[in-house]
Amino acid sequence: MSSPSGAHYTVLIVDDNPWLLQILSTSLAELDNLTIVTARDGAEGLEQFYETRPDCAVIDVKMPELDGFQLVRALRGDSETAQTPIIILTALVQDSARFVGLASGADQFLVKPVKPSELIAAIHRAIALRDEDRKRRLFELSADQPAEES
Amino acid sequence: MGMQVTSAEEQIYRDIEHKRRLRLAQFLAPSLMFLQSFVFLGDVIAFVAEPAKTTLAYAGYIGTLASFGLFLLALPLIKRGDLNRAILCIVIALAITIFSPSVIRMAAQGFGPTVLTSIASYNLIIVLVGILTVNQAYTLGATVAVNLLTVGVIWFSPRAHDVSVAFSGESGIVGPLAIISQWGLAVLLLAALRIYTPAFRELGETQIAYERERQLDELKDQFITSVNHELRTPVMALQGYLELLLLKVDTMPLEQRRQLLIDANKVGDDLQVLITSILESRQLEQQANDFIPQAVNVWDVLQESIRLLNQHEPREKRWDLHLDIPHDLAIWGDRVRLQQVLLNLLSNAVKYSPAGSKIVITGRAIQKPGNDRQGADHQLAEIVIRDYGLGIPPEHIPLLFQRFVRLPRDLASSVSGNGLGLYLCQLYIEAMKGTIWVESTGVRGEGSQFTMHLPVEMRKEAGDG
Repeated sequence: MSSPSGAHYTVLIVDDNPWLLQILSTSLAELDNLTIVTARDGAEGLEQFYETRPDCAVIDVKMPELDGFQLVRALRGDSETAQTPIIILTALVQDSARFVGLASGADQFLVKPVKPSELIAAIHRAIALRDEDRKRRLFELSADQPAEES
Repeated sequence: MGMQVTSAEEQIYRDIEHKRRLRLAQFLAPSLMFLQSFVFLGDVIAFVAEPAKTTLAYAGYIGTLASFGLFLLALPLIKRGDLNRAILCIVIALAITIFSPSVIRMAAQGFGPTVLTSIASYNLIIVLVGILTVNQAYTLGATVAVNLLTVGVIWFSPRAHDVSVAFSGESGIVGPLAIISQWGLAVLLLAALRIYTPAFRELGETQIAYERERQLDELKDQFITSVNHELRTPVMALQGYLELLLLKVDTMPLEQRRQLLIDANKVGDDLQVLITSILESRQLEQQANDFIPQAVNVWDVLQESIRLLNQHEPREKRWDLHLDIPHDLAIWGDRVRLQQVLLNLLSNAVKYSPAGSKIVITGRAIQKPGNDRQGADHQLAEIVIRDYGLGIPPEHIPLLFQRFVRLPRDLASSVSGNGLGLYLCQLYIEAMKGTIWVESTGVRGEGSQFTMHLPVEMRKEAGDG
């Protein structure tokens, strides 16, 4: 489904600001050929995630219903969705927020404002790191296998 | 003169007084115990030396023991902060300590010099009650009790043979003299209380004012955080439009570029409104009084405000509006300012209520008892806006009309605002010589009620009066 370059990824963006959602989905699709799925709040985000199985999720923190951190925790709690790269996108600059964000299992933490090109770069980096991680683990697993058998 | 305080702030007064009395009790209990130990020692010597003991003497000895016990009991009570009981223990212990030697002496020798001396120390009880309770009634009560005790001891104690001869001419003077000195002391204490009480009140008010300042400062910090959030998102959206246009300027169809520019322009407008409202609040403040008062029909202004509200609020959010205002109700003020106030209050009511919830607006003319020089009643227009939304926690009400104040609840949620709406409402209402206040239990669903009193149209007032 995903090749290293020129790949076609699906990205879920969850944010409660309609203007931001609109311009992000337009610009990310225009600039990088990404398929964008959007959600206005955490609950809708969770629903969309299971429906579309995105390659990456970009999640705002301050949202009605389910906030960003709660959403990340929910996704990380499920083994099926635990491996999807997640980028927290927020206006909260405090370190405490940063800590909670990382502790909840997000891959990256971006502070608004972020330009579309920067966001695209972050999405690719997050996906690449996850892929590498997955490959490394597969390799370790296959290296372990014969040792266990003997 | 006194400031309006909430029940939470009233607690500050009580805390100051509690701390003061606690410190006093902490010092007094061990000090008096130390002094009491000498009395105790004297009684032990008397107990050993006195061969014949009457029931009265035993009562005296038991009293001394009991007072020692009461002092001991006061110590843990003070530690626990159970101040009222501790004070009761100390006062009773002191009273018994002072009284019991005279009882023992009286039993042994009848009324004599020792008893006479101890009467002088009865004054200590009045002083102790006065400084520990800081209460006129208790001080007066203690004085009367000590008077009765003095009278009882002087008139009803058995007279020692030789003493009765020595005092025969003067016993009529000893009693009144003692009582007069006790009342002298009471008067001094009451005078001190009179000076102390207002000073204490002022101290409390200073602390409350300080506490409010501190909270305001905290709220301002939170506000800066909140504005930070409100600004970053539209800036990011704006940057998004700009970068997309920049990168795709050659390839994008004209129509699409135009649409992006239109959208970007809207985001820019929103951003401008936000920044203006924050940065220009000082200017609005200066212009608040800049109007020529005239008769303003409340009904008309309200209709206009509702129309504006309908434009601003999303269509899906409906509310159940009830109006009960006489069509001829008019205030003496400024149309634009009244409209701004009503719009702010209404949009708050909508913002902090679930969709479809009831909002009631009532208006009427009321008579206010005159406190001006003529003492005449004057008419006021009362406008009440009642919603059934989230309400306002009572502890946050004193700060609510201050500049940049937003409830911690709203800062944590996604409800946007700049903390200026109610501030401007108060500013404008006061510019029109009116008052505005809010009542709320802070219980979700009970909502809040904003009440305004504004001067009515002059002509009408003259006609009615």
